[in-house]
Amino acid sequence: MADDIKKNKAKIKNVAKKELQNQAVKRKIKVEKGGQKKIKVDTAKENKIRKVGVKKPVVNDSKKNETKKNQIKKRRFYDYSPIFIILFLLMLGLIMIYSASSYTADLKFKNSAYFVNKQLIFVGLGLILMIIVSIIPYQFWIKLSKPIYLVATGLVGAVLVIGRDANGARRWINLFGIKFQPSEFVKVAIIIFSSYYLVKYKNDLHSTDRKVAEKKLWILFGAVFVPTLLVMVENLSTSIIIFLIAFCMSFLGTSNKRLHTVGAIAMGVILFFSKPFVKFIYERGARDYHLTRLLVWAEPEKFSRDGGYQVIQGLYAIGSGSLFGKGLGQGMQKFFLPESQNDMIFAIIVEELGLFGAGLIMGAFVFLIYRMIKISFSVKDPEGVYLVVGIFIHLSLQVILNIAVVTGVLPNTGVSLPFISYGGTSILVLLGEMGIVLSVARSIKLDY
Amino acid sequence: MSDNLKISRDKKGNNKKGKDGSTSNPLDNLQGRLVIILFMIIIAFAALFFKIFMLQRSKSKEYNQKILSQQKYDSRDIPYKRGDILDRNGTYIATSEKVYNLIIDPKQINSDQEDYLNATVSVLSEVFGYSIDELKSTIAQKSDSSYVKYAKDISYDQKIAFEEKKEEYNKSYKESKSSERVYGIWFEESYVRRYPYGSSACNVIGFANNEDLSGNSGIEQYYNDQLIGVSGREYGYLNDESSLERVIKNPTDGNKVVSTIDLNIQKIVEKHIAEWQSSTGSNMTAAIVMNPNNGEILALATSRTFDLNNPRDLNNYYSPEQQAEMDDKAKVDALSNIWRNYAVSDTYEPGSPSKVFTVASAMEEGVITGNESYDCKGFEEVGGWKIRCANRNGHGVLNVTEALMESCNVAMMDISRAEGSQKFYEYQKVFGFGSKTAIDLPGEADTSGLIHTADNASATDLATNSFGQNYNTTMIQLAAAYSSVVNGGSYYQPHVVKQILNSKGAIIENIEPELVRETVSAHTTAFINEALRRTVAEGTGSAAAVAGYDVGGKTGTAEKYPRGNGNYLVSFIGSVPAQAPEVVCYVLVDTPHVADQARSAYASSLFSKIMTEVLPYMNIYSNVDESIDVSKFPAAEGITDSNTQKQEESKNYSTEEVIPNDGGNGLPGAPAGEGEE
Repeated sequence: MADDIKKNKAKIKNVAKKELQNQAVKRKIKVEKGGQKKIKVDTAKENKIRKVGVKKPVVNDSKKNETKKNQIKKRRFYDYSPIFIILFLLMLGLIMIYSASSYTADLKFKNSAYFVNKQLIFVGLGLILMIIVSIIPYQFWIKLSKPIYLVATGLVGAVLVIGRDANGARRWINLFGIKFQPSEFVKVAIIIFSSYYLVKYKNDLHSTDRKVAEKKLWILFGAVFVPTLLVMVENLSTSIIIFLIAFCMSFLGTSNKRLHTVGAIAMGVILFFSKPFVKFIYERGARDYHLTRLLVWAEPEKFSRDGGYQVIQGLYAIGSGSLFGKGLGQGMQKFFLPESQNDMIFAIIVEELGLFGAGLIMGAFVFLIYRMIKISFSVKDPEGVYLVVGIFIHLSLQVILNIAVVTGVLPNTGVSLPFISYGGTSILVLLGEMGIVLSVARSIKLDY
Repeated sequence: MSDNLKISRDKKGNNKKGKDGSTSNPLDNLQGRLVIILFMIIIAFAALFFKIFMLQRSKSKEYNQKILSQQKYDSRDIPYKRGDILDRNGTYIATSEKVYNLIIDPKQINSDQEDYLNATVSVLSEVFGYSIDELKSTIAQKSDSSYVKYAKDISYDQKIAFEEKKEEYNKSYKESKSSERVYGIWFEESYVRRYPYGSSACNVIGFANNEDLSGNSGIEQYYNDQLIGVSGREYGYLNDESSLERVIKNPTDGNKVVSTIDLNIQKIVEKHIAEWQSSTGSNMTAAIVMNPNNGEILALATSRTFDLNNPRDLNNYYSPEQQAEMDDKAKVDALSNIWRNYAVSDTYEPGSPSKVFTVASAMEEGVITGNESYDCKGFEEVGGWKIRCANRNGHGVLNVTEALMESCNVAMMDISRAEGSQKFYEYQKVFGFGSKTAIDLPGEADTSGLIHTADNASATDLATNSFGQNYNTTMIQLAAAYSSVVNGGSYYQPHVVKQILNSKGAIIENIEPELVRETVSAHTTAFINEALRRTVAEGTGSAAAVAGYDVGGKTGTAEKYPRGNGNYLVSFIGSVPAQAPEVVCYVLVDTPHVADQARSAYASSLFSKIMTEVLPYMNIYSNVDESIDVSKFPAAEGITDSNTQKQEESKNYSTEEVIPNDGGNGLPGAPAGEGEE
């Protein structure tokens, strides 16, 4: 597996070299043609940044790629760097899934590559989906925002009735023989719907009259609460993400300050006091499934027999990986971490690749988010901006929540790590979202 | 994280620019708020990264220990069974026996000390005879541990005895309404390697270390990959209800290896070597018995034996006082010397048996027809050296057959000179000298630097090489080459393993005889076989005769380096039946412990003794009627008459020496040019 990574990196490096040569040629052309000063400046700046810190060759060549493209197609801004980052993360994910799951897969299915093979299929489908979506103009989704919202809400309602049990929770629905998690679709639906809503009522939302703005915000929150509550029944963490996406997006879409400030403070308070509160009500004798999870979070060592096991084992994995980890495939915690290829995969990564691996992945995500923000700054059309912003909020929330759970900062809620964790629906949805981002990026006109 | 900060600063800068540009655009507000969100995200990332860093810094040691401790408790390896080694008749010559380790779980016992401690300890002491105080102190000392390996190598019967006692006690406790129980003891499977025949075939089998079950020397080492299996694992995992469940993945046992060795032949050979060693003795006596028609080694024995069940025992070779003086390195050196397989790993000058190859190659090339005659005056001058024949008075006029029978050096020098060094060394290559036989045993000596080539051989080298001096071979090289000459010219790769079976006994792989190349033609073989038959019947090899059989063979007496010390390496290689051999036996005696060593009869008579027992066992029938036998073959008595025989020999032949080579001639053969100057 390590070889694969090396090969991949070497390949990327080769590409980078070629691009460098290409660039030299292109620069000449640029001087001749003149203009495009802004891009030139940007490139220089980025180069500087790169020199200071960014470690991955992936980053380097993708940027050159971008510059090159800019000069060939003056009118189309097609951003390749996110694609490279996504491919890198997907690849790393496949490798880590194999490392984490091969033993269990061999035991259960007599095929050590069982999970990797399944994931590979979804990655393939997801990449095709991403390309298709990136070609479709994103306005298409905005136009359909209401039906999308209604269908997604209907599906999460339906899953409660006809859903399939998996891992003790009803999260799956069977459509045309394909199993999927509707709650994942709700996230996209909310992003699209919020984009539509925030643009449509932007005058009201930016009204100086507090009441007008807050009324529109409450309507949006109301619309979001319906699917949020339906999801919450079975999947608390996804519902929290859904709500937080809408909360953050609406914060960007209004000039109102009060509602979000109050909301943020309230959330902070809940987070701060939940530990003592949970302990308090436990001492009073309260016993409940959700409570147990929170107790485990509050005092994992004490409640290790009630599900703290997974958290503790994850912490052991993280704590025992040193600067460079135990080496790919050398981790021991995958034997103890149930379903380590899913939500706890980050723990395995830190155990096997160390702090370095953690930094690599987090760096890749930061760079991806940074590229998305850059796109959102370049887009003139507000709906495109909200779509990109919503998606980047979704992505970063999921990364932060996942790592926070794995490191024991937040209670164990079951959030997957984007592009890396095992899970078909999540991969499809995320790559679909990336397709939307690329579609928005394509709309950027450069000749101004 | 420094780059993250850079990026955010950069973003802020951009943002300000935007604001300056057009303040009325509502997107400006969005960008400002976006920066706030971005800032929070980056803080979150940095904080999480810092959290990971702190977790590793403060808990690394503790968590690593926990991981290791639960590794033992929650999941454990189930050992695989190392594959057995069988001889060609299916007799187990190496096998793995299941034994048990006694594991005490003090943590469980201490969880309710009053009920468990005394009951458990008393049963342990009753069944195994352990001291109660010692048990208690162990449990007290390691009270936090769940895994204390208290005893090893517990047999199945002992384990059953304990379990029965445990049941019995627990039942009676239950009946008497006592809450005491025997608890917290379990057995862990393990295997020990056993060699039922002790030191028999020790050089071929080798041994496996019980600790890591890796093979050391012999088949155990060479076929280690086949013999090892895959450990199973019992491990705990969480099910949907978050309770610990155990899953057992069964181990895959190693494959069985069927050797070509026939334990009965092996024992016959070993018996005679041991007899010889105890009566007269030598620095090294070794014998190979093989099937010339497919390269299978039937027996391979040396006088340097060791007990496979106790391979690190030096008592047979060193007195306790000597052992006490040895440091670790000396012990390791001594052991590796004992474990060394002489027949494969050691080289020596072969001496006269190589005359067979000289004649065969010359005949094959048409240089001689077999009817040539040579006049031996007892020496010949080659390249300025006076090289003597075994018979210092000279053999007189000999034909080719007689030259082999009488082991005449002068004739060989003449033949090789006629053949020329180009062809002579080409044939040395064809016969496999200088290259490995690729026998499936570890540590085969590389003799490529110990032979001459046509380019660097002087006339003297060629002359001395023609009768087996001045270059080195291994026993296995010589036996394989000889087999090819007597079997009609097929050089088979010698091998000691014929089959690989899986742990259930089904055949995985048949190791077919591998024909490496053709060496000589059938015509040459027929001539050589007849000459060799006459060598035993009428010539120097008469001590090797076996009553009732046509034996073909060639003696060898090579003076060892440094020359002139009277140390000799005597050997005999023979094939039976002489005209269509079914078995080849090569016997070598290095430095016999006698005053006059230069008698090949030491080896020949050993050959005869071995073959007298082996041939009937192999169902190779005597070619003569029993009734005629006694009267017509007095030569058979040559074995018992060895005294007269030997004396005769010592007068006439058997000492093949190179007179001028007594100087500091390094092996292989100091450049003759130097000597000339």
